[in-house]
Amino acid sequence: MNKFFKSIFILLLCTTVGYGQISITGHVINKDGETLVDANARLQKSKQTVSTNNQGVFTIYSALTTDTLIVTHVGYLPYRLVLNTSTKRSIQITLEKDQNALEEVVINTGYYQVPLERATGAFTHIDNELLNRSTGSNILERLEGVTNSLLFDRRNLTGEDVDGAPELRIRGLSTIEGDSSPLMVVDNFPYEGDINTINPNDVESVTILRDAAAASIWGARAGNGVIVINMKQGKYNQPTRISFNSTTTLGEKPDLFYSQNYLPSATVMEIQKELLSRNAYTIRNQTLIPSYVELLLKKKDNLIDDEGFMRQENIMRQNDFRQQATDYLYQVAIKQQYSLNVRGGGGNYRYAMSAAYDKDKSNVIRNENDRMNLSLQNTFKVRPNLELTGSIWYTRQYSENNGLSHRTIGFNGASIMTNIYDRLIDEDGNPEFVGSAYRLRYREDQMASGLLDWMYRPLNELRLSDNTSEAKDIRLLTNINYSFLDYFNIIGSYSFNESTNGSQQYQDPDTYFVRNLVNEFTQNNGSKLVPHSGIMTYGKTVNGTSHSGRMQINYNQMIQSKSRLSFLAGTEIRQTVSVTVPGSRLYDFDPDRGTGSASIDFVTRFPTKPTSSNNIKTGTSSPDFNQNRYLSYFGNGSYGYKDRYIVSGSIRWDGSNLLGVKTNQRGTALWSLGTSWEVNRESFYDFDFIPYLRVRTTYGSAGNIDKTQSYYPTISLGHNATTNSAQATLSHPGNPSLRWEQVNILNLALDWRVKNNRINGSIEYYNKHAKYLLGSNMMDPTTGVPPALNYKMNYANLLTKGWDFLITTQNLTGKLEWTSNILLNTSINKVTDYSGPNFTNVSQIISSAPVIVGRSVDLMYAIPWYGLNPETGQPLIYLDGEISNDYPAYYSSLKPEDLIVVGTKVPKLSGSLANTLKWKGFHLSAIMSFKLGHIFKRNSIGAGQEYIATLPTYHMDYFKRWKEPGDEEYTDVPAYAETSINQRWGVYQSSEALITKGDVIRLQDISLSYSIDKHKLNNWPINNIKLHAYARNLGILWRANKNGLDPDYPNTDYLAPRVISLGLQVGF
Amino acid sequence: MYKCKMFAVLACLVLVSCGETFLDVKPSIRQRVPSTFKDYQLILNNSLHYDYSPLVLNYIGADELYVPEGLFNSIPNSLLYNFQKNAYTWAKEIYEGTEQITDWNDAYSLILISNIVIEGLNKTANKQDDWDLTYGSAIFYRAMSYYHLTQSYCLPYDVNDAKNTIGVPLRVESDLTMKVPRSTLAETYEFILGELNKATELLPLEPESIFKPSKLSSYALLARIYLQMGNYDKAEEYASSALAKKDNLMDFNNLEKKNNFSFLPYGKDNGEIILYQSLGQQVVLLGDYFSKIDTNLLNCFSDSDLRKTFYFDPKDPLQTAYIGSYSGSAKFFTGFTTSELYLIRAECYARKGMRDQALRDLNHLRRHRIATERYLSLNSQDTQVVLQWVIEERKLELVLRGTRWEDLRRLNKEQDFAKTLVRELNGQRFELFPNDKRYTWPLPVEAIQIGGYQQNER
Repeated sequence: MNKFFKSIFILLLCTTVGYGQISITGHVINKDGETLVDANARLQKSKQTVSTNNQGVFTIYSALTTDTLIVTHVGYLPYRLVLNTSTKRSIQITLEKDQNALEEVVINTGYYQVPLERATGAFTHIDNELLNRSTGSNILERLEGVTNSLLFDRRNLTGEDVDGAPELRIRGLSTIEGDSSPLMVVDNFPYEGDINTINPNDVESVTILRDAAAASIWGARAGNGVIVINMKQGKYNQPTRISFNSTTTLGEKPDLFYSQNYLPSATVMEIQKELLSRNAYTIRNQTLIPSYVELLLKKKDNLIDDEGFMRQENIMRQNDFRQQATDYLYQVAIKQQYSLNVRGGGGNYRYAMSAAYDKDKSNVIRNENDRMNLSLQNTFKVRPNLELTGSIWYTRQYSENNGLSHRTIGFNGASIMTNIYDRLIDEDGNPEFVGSAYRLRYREDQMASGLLDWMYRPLNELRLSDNTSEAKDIRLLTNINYSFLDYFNIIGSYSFNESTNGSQQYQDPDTYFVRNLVNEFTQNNGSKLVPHSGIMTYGKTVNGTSHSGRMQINYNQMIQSKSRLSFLAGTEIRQTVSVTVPGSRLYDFDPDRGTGSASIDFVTRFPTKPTSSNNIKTGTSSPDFNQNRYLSYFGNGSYGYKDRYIVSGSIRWDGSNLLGVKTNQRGTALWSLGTSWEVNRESFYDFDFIPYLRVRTTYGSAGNIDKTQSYYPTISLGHNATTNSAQATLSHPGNPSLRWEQVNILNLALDWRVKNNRINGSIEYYNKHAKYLLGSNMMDPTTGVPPALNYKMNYANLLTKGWDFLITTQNLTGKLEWTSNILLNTSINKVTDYSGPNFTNVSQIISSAPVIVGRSVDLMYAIPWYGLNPETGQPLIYLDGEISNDYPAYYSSLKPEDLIVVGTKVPKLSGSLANTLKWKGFHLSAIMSFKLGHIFKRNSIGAGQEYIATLPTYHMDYFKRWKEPGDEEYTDVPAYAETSINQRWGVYQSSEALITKGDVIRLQDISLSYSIDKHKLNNWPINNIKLHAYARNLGILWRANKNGLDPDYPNTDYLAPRVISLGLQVGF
Repeated sequence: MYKCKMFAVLACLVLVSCGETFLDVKPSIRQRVPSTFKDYQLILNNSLHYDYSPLVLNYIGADELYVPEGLFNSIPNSLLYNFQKNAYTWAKEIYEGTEQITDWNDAYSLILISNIVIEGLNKTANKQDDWDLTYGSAIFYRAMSYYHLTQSYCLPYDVNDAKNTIGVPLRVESDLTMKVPRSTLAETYEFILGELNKATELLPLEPESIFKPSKLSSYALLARIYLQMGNYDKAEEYASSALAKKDNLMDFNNLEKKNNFSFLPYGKDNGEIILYQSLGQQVVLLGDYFSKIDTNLLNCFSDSDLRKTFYFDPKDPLQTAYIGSYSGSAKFFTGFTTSELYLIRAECYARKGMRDQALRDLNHLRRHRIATERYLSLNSQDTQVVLQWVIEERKLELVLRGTRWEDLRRLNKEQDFAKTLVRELNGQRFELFPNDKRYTWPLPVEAIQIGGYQQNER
C-alpha cells in the first residue's frame, strides 16, 4: 500500500519535473546517527529545492548533467556535493554540527516537537545543563531563578514548613480563588502524582508553556500555564554512554532564634504570675496550665518549700527552650544522591536505563527518608517507518518520621503547652517532661494513686517512636510511531501509572501515647480497659491507578521548499482511580510475632479520665473510591511560508465526568491562533547590527476548572456513629449559573540577536483576560449558604498584564567566557468586572482583600496611622475630629473609603541575573534574584495581647514599646496594657505602621564545577569527570525593610537553612 | 501496514463514539447528586439535625452563665470570638462580618437542607414506607428552625402587634437566587404553626428513636410555641396530648453519682427525652473553661434538691461547671422532654386558674427531683403564688436547656416576673432592662450587606 502511494507520488513528481538527468535520493543524518527531518536539499544550478521527510530522506531531480547539491539544516554546517552522472543514486549524508551556530532548541509541548525558532507561542526551555546547575532532589526546585516568568511564592509557607512547596505562578494570576498551580506534564501525559517521585537526574529538559498558543493544546486545565518535563532518552547509533553521579548536600541547623514571636522566659513568667493573680486560668483536671503557674500554685498550697521554689524559678528564668531544642531536636541535614544512567543505541534500537538512590537525613533528628528510582526505556525500529517504545519507571520512597520539631512539642513562641522556660533535659542530663493535654498536678496525683507514669518527655519519645511510611509508584509507557506516505505519522501512546502509599506506627508500651491511653481508660475500680502493651496503627492506604491513551496523526511537509505545512489531530482518553483502604489499630501488639489482639470492646462508651466518656478507637478513617475520567479531542496546525511567515492554530475539546454538572457543561472547547514573522529575511531589511529579528503574536483561550463546585446539589455519604446509621451531608447546594473559568491570552513578542551574537534575547508582552472567575461565597447567608461554605460564583473578570524580558549577553568570549542571563518579569492585574456584592465591612477588607473593579486583587488595605497618643502611648485616633480613647467606637466608625491602599502583596517586578564564567574546565555561575515593588505585613505585639491567658501573642517589639511621653517620637509600638481592649490593638495591627516593604535582592545560589576532558584522561577508561560544588539560600544582598526580616518568608519560624553540596559526575 | 492503519482509524472511531457514555461514570462512590428517596432520607439522618441548635446567642445573652472577669479578659480578640464577647455584654453591634457561627446562618442552612429534601421528595413517588416520616421530618425541622429564628431575631410575640411586627424571611424553596423579604411576625408564626400541623399529620405517634421527630415532638414544639404566644389553652392541649402518650420522669433519687457528666452520652436510657437536640457548635465563650454557672442561679437550689448535685460540679462555688446536660457531655441539651411539658402544662393551668391541676403537675415533677426523705409537697390557695412557683421551678428544672432567653423575653412583659440582667466587667456595668430592644439580636453583617435586609433596631 505504502509503496504504491510512494511510486505514484514519485511518478507525479517526475512528470512535473520532466525526465531528469540526475536523480538523487539522500538520507540525512547527524554524527550521532540521528535522522534529520526538515533538512533542506538544494541544487545550485537548477534551483531545485526539496526537504527531507519524516525519515530524513529526500529525492531531488535535475535536468542538468552536472550540478552542486547543498544540504543545509539549522545548527549544522552546509554539506556540498558535486553531482555528475557518476554520482551514486542513493547516498547517505552526514552533517557536521556548526559549533558557532546557536544550538537549535527543540521544544516538546507534550503533543509535538517544534524548533523554538519556528514556534509562535511563548515557550521557555530549560535544558539539561541549566537543570544540573543546582542539586535539589525535586525537579521544580531546580527551575527557580533560571526560568523566565515563573514566580516561586513562599508567602504561603508557615511555621516550620520552610522547605515546603512554594506556590508557582506563571505570568501572574489568571484566577482569583481557583487553583492557580500550573499543569504538570511528564512523558507527554498530565501528571497528578507526587512530583517528588521524579528523579531530576532522569530529566533531560523542561519546557514551560506560558501563552495560549503554547498551552491551549492542553485545554481546560492549562489556564495557569503548563510545565512539561521531558525524560532522558537514548539515541540511535550512539555508543553506550554511562554516567555516574554522586552528590552530598549538607544543610544547616535551622535558626530557631530568627522568629520574633516570643518573649524571654523572665517576661513570660512575669506575665503568667500576673495572670494567675487575676484568676485568668480555670484550674481543673482536664486543662493544662503553664508549668510556671503550676509551680506558683505548688508554693501557694505549700507543696514546695521556699528554697525549692526559688531554685526552680531561677532555673526557669535562665532557660530558653529554643537553645535546648536546637541542641537536642535538630541536626545538620545530610542528603546523599547517587544516580547511574546508561544510554545508547544501534541502528535499529535505542535505550536508556537509570538507577538512583537518594538518602535524606532531615534537619530534624530521626526524620529520614530515602528514595529509589529505576527506569528502563527501549525503542525498536521494527521497520524503517515503525518505531515501538516501551518504558518502565519505578520509584519507591520510604520515610521514617520519628523526629520532634519544636512545634510538634507544642512550642511556637507563645504557646502555653510548652513555654520558653520549659526544658527538654534537666540539669542532671535526664529527659525532662513538658506540658501535654491535662493538668500536671492531676497527673501527678493519679500516678501516686497507681496509674502509669503520665508524663510526656520528648527526648524519651524521640528514642521510642517508630513511625514509617512507604510510597511506591510505577509508570509504564508504550508508544507506537508509524510513518507513512512520506509526510504522515501516527502515534499511539498508552501510559499506565500505579501508586500506593501506606504508613504504620508502632507505639512501644513505654511511649506517652500508650501510657496516656491506658490511663485515660483506667476505670475507677482500677481495671485497665486498654492493655499496657504495644499498639500498632496502620495508616490508610491509598492506591491510585491511571490509564491514559492517545491516538494522534501528524502531517508534516515542506512544499516546494518555500512553505511548510504541519498538522496534527488526535484524541486522548484518561481515567484515574483512587481507592482508599481505611487504616486500623491493633492493641496488645507484639512486634516480634506481629500479632495483636482484637478482643477489646470498641463499641461501648466508657468513662474516661479525667472527664467525659469515649469508646476505644479501632479504625482511623473511612474507605473511599474516586474515579475521574477525561476525554479530549485536539487539533493543531501551522503553516510556514518562505521561512519567515508562520501561522499556527489549535483547537481542543475537553470533557470530564464532573459531578453535578449538566451534560453539556461537562466539556469545554478552547482554541488559539498565532503568527510569526522573521523580519530580517525580508529584502528591505538592512539593519546589520541586528541580524535576527522576529515578531511573534498569539491569541487564544485556555481554561481552569474547580472540581469542588457543582451545578446540582451534591451530597457526600458517611456514617453517623452516634445514631449508628448511614447519613448524607450536603456538600454543595448547587449553582445553576455555574460555568468554567476561561482565560484569553494575548502574547506579543520580539526575538532578536545583535551582531556576532553578543547579545540576544526576547521581549514579550502578555495580556491575560480571565473571565467568569469563580469567587467564594458572596451569598446572603439567608439563602442557607453560610460564609464558611465552599460555594463559588462566577463573579469577576480579571485582566493581567505584564512583560517578560530575557537577555543573554556574552560579555567575554575566548579563553575566559563570561555570559550573563537577565530575566525580568513584571505582572500587574486589574479587576475589569465584578458582579458580587461590595464589601462595606472594614475587617473583611483588611483580612480578605476585596475584589473591586479597576483595582488589583493583590492589594493590601490598612487603617491610617497617626502615631501614638503622647499621653497614653496608645494609638492616636480621631473620632469626629477629636482625639479619642474609644477604640471600639472608632473602629466601627471606619468606612471602607477611610482605609488606605498600602501596596500589593505580590512583587510587581521580579527576576534574576545569572553570571556564568567559563575558563578551561572551570565553570562558575551565580544567580542573584530579586523581587521588587511589593509589601508585607510584619508581626508585632498587640497591647495587652500578652495577657490573653489561653492564646497569648508575644513579640519582641514588646521591648520597643512606648514607655513615657516623648517615646512616640521614635516608636510606633503601643504602650504596655494590662488587658487587651477590643480593637485598640486592632487599630495598630491593621494599620499602615506595620506595612513593610518587601523589596529584596538575594544571592540565590552559586555553582562551581570543574570538568576534565577526555583527552586529558588518556589512560583512563573514562570519558569525562566533573566535580561540582553548589550552595543555596545564601542570604539577602539588599532588602528595603530595616527590620531584618526576610520578605520571602513572612510567616515561617525560621528561614530556609543554607545548604551546600559537593558532587562528582563521571562519564564512561 | 494496512491492518495497522485500519486499527488506528478504528481506535479513533471507538474513542470518539464512546465519549458520551465514557463520561457518565460517577467520580466518587461517596459523592452524588441526590435523586432517590433513600438519598433524602440520609440527608435527614445527618447530625446537623440534632447537634446544631441555632441558639448560641440566646445562651450567651441569658442569665444562667457568667464569665469571671479574669477569664473574660483571656478570651482572644479575634473575629472568631469578638461577637461572643459583644453578645455577652449585650452590645448594640456584635458582628464584624464573616463570623462562622451565627444562629441566623445555621438556621437558614437547616432550612435550605429541608427545602432541598422537600422539593426532592415531591419528585419521588410516595411508595416507600418511611416517605411520610421523612417528608414530615423535613417540614418539622424547617418549622423548628423558623421558631428558633423568631426567638433570636424578632421581637417577642404580642398577639395585638404581631401583624405590625417584622418577622423573618420565609424561604420555602431551595432556589438560591430568590429574593425573599422579611415577613411580618404574624405571618411567620402562622407559617410555623401551619407547617407543624402538616408535620403532625405525617409523623408517626411515637419516634423510632430520640433522634427522629414524631407527633410527640410536634406536640412538644407546639406547646412551647403557644406558651410563648400566650395561648395557654392551646399550649395546655398540646402538652397534654404529648403527656398522654409519654409521661415518664426519671427519679433523681435512683440516679447514681458519676465522676463526670451525670447522664449517659447522647440521651442514652433517658426516658424523659422526646426529641434529642443539642448545641454542638464550638462556642469558646460557652465552653466550661470560660463559662461558669451564675451564682444567683446556684443559690436558688435548696440543699434537698438533687438537681444541685446532678446538674453542677460543686468543687469551687465561684467556678461551678455544668455537668447536667442530657447530652451526657459538655454540649447543652436543647431538645424536648416530658419535664418541660409538665412545666408548660402546670403554667397553663395556673394561668387559667386551675390551681389544683397546676400543683399536681408541679409536685409530680418535684417528687422526682427532691430527695425523698426531705420532700415536702407544695400547696397554696393563691393561684398567683402557684404560678410563681411554677415559673421558679421552670428556671431550676430547665437550666441551660436553651429556653431561658425565650422565657426572659416572654416574662418581662409581666411586672411580677420582669428582671434586669446585669454583668460587671473591668469596672464597667452592663445592664439589660426588661423589654429592652437588645433582646432581639442583630442580623449578621452579610444578610444586611448582601441580602439587603432591614437591620433590627437595637
